Amino acid sequence: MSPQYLVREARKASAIFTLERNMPCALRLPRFWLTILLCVPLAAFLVPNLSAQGTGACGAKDYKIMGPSSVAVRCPSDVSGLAVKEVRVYVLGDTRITPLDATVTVSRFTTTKEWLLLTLAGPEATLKPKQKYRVLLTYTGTDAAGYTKTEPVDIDSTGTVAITPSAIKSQPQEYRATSHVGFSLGGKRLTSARTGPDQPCQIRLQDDTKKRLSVSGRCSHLDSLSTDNPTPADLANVDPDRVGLYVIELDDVPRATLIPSGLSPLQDIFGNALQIDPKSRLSPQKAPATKDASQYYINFNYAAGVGTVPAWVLDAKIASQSGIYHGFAFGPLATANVGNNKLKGQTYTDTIDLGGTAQRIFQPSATLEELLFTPGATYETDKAFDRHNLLGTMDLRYNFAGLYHTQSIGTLQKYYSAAQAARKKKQEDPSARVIEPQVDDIQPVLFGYALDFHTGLETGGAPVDSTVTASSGKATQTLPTYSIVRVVPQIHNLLEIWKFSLDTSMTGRYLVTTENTVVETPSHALFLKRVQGWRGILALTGTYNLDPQGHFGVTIGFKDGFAPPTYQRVNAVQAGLLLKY
Amino acid sequence: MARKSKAGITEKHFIDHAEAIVAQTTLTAYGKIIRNTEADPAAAGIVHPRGLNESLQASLVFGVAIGGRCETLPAPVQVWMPSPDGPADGCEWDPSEYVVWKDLPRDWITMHLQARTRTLATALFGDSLGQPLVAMGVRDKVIVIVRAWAKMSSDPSGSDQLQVLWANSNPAGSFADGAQLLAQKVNDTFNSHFHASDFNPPDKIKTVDDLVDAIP
Repeated sequence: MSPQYLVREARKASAIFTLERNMPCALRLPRFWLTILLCVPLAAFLVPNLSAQGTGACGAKDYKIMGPSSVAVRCPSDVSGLAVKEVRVYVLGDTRITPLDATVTVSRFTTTKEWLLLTLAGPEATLKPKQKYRVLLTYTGTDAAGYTKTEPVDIDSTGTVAITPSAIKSQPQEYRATSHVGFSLGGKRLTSARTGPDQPCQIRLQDDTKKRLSVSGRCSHLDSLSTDNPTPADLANVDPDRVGLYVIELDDVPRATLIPSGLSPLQDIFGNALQIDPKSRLSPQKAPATKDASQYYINFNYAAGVGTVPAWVLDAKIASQSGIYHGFAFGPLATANVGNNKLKGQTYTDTIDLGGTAQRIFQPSATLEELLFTPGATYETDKAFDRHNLLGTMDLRYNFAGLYHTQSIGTLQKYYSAAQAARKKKQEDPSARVIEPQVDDIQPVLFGYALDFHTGLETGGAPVDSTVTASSGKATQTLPTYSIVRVVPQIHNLLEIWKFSLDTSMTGRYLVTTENTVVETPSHALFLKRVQGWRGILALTGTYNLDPQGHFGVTIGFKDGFAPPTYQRVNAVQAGLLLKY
Repeated sequence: MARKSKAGITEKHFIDHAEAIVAQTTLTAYGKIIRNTEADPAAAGIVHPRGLNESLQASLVFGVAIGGRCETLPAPVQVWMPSPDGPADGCEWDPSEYVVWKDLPRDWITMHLQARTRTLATALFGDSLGQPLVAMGVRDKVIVIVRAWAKMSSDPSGSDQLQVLWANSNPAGSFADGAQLLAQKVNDTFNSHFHASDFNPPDKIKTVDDLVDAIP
């Protein structure tokens, strides 16, 4: 007798006991004490077996009651090859479990590969509302051992509706009403929600004063089946992921927490009014917890003391992105490199860019895998706002295959391989104790790199004469109008070794037309200077991450070159601490 | 006829007439062989593409090289194929996982096998009797989108993290780029309004299941 045979038989026995376990002992044994005597050791024997069956080919994740005699069960993978041998249904009472006198047939959906459709027939084929059931699915695995497995799926036909905010951060006015019991539109005909809420609707609410009111919005268009008693063939064409779902998009984001009191005219497929989960709320979204998660972030600090020059620090970020239209993502542009004091030789470029960009990613070929096209409009000025350049910009970023393999990418790839290996092991031996790794369990890879290339064009001009004032003293200088045509190639490189990273950006600017700028001497005299030809700037930023997650770091930045609109020489090293959360 | 020798033109820039015809009338396929599926082509009324007296095997074709272009099929196609010419050696297919069938005549008639789930009535009598085929459900559409987006050779699992799948596709850019591409594809399919920032940084929509559940 082979060990595989023994294992297979043991699993079969375990499956049978699993079925038996759910039969009420009291029904089979007339004497109570005898029941206790037999059931307690049996339960003790079964518990370890049941816990070992937590993995397998179905591992039901979700269910939907599609009709009084139809239940859809979702397995987390393709069920086309799943051979379901037997399905039994039990009523879960407070004190006893009763088998349902019904036969169950299993079919598949045409709309999805991950759901099974269970259809009940027989004297007790109709599920009752507000009742708990247990479905036992017995199926044969597709691995070499061909094991048989029984899996319980607990079902509640109460159909409480939970209303929760959508997971889409950019749509704070969107909510989802979900239930395990299918919805109907005032009858017993199953409905499913179309994608994209487009039907005007009113949501009845209660506020804190218990005063009834409603808010308007747009809700899912629900498609009803043509009959109250659909056949399995009718149900097979329904998408179970859209059953028991009603998407609500309010016209305005609620300013206060509101309690929904109903979703008229929706009912459940038993014909009962929907019961809203009392915990459901329509509430304003909370502010993002971190700067990284914020679209707008402004933190202004000001400090002053006796005998010292007042200092200010402005830490600002605008990273909002509007929707994507025709493949273009639009967003504001706001970058600044300014300070509140000057060192000899100047330590910053004194550049402020305000404007907007649109960006679209193309995937031209296997070699040039990504081409990022970024047209934009920029108002270019300095800290004193005494330069006024209006520019139309265009940037093309070229990402070639094989030139982007940062530590993050390498570590995630390592994690994916480990996770796949764990899943494979679990598939090969469902009873094996396999712990799937988490990303944090993976040791970061040692080496990472990225290299991309840009070509850009900046055209426009300074449309009006402006007067430039010296940073100290009363000297002024008129800056006459001029036109701008700049060709801007750039190479950007990132090198990561262990906790060190070096980010290099080399930007060249070829000034096709002559531009004007005002230069301030160390004695605060001003003079007009004409600039043409190549002007470049090199920026190196070295970072040492103090912790493995990269929250704390020490940075050293080096800049050398000329940047518009002032084109004053920058040649400086800056060091600082980096805190990222 | 003597060839005119011009600067930079070498022998490698020429091909034979026969090679030119082969290039225009054949294709090269990449895929996998399905185990234990040998079949006699004569029994099915077809012939071996190379006129050999050999059996054919049911195979899954994932991509082709045709007219000098490499193309990945939208979904693997199951067809009967002759013995492969060896491990894949082109179009960036992994030789450890895929095989190559070279220069198959484009007009070769083979057996095309389609596996799909349908109701029995529709399978037996066709669409005219049964319900018209409804479009793919939201979950399967999302799986197709993610699979193409992350250049996967098999369907992603619902618990797979989008950022991890993107990293595993050997991308040319950061996940920020991946997020925009994904938002674009999802919006095109579902007429939705996802932003790249809904996926990056990963927050509420981390996994394939999260994405399915977020489709409005």
